[in-house]
Amino acid sequence: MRRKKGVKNLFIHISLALVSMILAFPFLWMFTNSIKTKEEIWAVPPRVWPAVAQWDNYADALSDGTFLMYMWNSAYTAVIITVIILANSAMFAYALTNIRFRGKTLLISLIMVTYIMPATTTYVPSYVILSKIGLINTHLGYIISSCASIFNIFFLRTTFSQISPGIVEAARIDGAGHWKILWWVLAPMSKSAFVTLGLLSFLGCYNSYLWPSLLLRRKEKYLVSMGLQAFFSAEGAFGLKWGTIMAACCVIVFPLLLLFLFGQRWILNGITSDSAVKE
Amino acid sequence: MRKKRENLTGILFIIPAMLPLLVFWILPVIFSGGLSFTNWDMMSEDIKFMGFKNYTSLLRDPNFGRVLKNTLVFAVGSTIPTIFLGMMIALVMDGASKGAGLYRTIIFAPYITPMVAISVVWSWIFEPRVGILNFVMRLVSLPESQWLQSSKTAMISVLIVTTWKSLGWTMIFYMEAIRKVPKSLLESASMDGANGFWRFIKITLPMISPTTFFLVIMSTISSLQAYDQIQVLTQGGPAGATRTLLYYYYQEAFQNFNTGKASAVAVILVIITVILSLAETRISKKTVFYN
Repeated sequence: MRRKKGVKNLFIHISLALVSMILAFPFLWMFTNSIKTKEEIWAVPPRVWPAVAQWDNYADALSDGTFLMYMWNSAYTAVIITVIILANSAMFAYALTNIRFRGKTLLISLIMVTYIMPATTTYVPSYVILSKIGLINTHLGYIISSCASIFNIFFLRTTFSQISPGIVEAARIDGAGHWKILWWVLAPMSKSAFVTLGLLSFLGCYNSYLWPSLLLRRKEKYLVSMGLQAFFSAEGAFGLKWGTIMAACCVIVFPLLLLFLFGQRWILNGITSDSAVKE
Repeated sequence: MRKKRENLTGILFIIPAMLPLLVFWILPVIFSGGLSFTNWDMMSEDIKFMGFKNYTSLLRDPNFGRVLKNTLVFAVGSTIPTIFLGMMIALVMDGASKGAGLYRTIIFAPYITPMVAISVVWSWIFEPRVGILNFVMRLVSLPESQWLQSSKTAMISVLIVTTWKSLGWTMIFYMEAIRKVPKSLLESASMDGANGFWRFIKITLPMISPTTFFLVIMSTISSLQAYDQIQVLTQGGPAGATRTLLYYYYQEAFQNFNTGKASAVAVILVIITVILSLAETRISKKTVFYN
C-alpha cells in the first residue's frame, strides 16, 4: 500500500516537473540568448549555453539610457496610479458598505454594467477628451485616464462587508467619523487585501501597452513595453541584434519575476480568496 | 438633517473614483455609440450623420466576416485549453503530498510578465529556420512548420503564447476550488467502489463547476480584448489570419482614421460581450452546482 503511494507520488512529481520546465523554458531561452554571440544565436543545431557569456549585450541594451528611462516612466506612473486607485476604490467600497445614501442600488448596477464593457470602446472618445484638454503625450493624461478600477472596488467591497458591523459600530460610538473609520479601523484590518490589490495594480500598469501606446507618441514619454516594441520592430525584423533585444527583455522581465517571488504569498492566496471570486 | 449629511458624505466618498469612471469610461461608451452613426475621421469639423450605413457596410464586407471568424476561433481556442489544462494541472497538484508550491510559482510566473516582452521571446522561438521549436519538432520527427509566417499556422502560434501565459491564472482558481471539495464525500464514494475517474466526474467536477463558470466568462471576455501578443507577433497577419475584432478596431480607428466605422466595430464588440455573458449565465443555471 505504502509502496503504491510512493509510485503515485513520484509520477505526480515527474509530470509537474515536466510541465514546469516547459512553462519556464521561454524565460531560460530568453536569458541564454541574451548572453550569446550573434553566431551562437543563429547556430543550427541551437546551442543551449554560450561558450563565453556575452555581458556586452546588456551594456549595449542599456548604454544610451533609453531603456532605463522607459523603465522609470513605467515604474513611477504605475506607483502613482496604484496609490490613487487603492485610495479611491477603498473610499468607494466604504461608501457602498457603510454609508447609507440615495441611489446606491442604481449606482451598483451601473458599475456592474460598466465592468463588462470592453475598454476598447472607450479609446477613441477618451483620446478626444484628453486632446481637448491638451493632455495627449503627457504622463498626466495617462495617469488620470487610468485611475479607476472597478475590479478593485468590488474586491474591497467584499473585504469590507466581511468585517463584523459591530467593530464599525463600536468605533462610531467612540466618536469616529467615516473618514477615520475607513483609514484607522477598516484599512488596517484589510491589510492583506490592500497588498494583493497593490501588487496586481502595479503589475497591470507596468505591463500595460495598448492604451499608453495610443496616448504617448513621443519617445521620451514611452513606457517600457512601447520602448521594447519600437526597438524590436526597428532591429529585430532584420535579425540584426537578437542578443541585445533578449538582454532588453531580461532587464524588463527579471525585476518583475523577482517582485512576484517576494509577493507571491499575497498574489496567489489573495486573488482566490472569496473577495475576488464573488462579486 | 442627519440623513442629508449622510447623503453628502456618500457622494464625497464616491467622487474620487466616480469622476474618472464617468469621464473616461461611461461617457466614452455612450459617445462611441453615437459616433458609430457618423462618418467622422477624427480630424475634420464636418461630421455627417450616416444612419446604419457603417453597420451595413461592415456586414457586407467579406473581410469583416473573416474578422468575426478569427475572433470566434481565438476566443474558443484560448478559453478551452486554458480551462482544461489549468484544471488538469490543479488536479495533479492536489494529489502531490508536498513540494507543490514551487511548481505553482513557476506555472503562475508567465501571468505576471509583460505580454510584449514575452511575445518578443516567443517570436524567436517560432523562427522557422533557426528557432528552437522547429529544432525540437525535427528531434521528435514531427513535421516542421512556418508558425507565425504562414496564414495556416499563425493563429495556432498566437494561441500557444496566449495559453502559455494564462494557464497559471486558471490553475490557482482550480487549486483553491479543488481544495474545498469535502474529503469525506470523496472517501465515502471510494468506499462505495468508485475509482478515481468516477470520483472526479461525479463529485469533483460538479463541486468546482462555479469556478469553471467564472473562469469561462472571465477568459472569453479577456480573449475579446487580446491585442498585445497579436501586435508583436503578427500585426494581424499574415494576410489577415490573426486579425481579431479588437485588432480590426485598432487598425480602423488609429491607422485608417475611420472613426465612425471603428466605433461601429466597438459597438458590435460590446453586443457580442453582452450576448456571451448572458448566454453563459443561462447555460450555467442548468449546469452549475451551487451549494
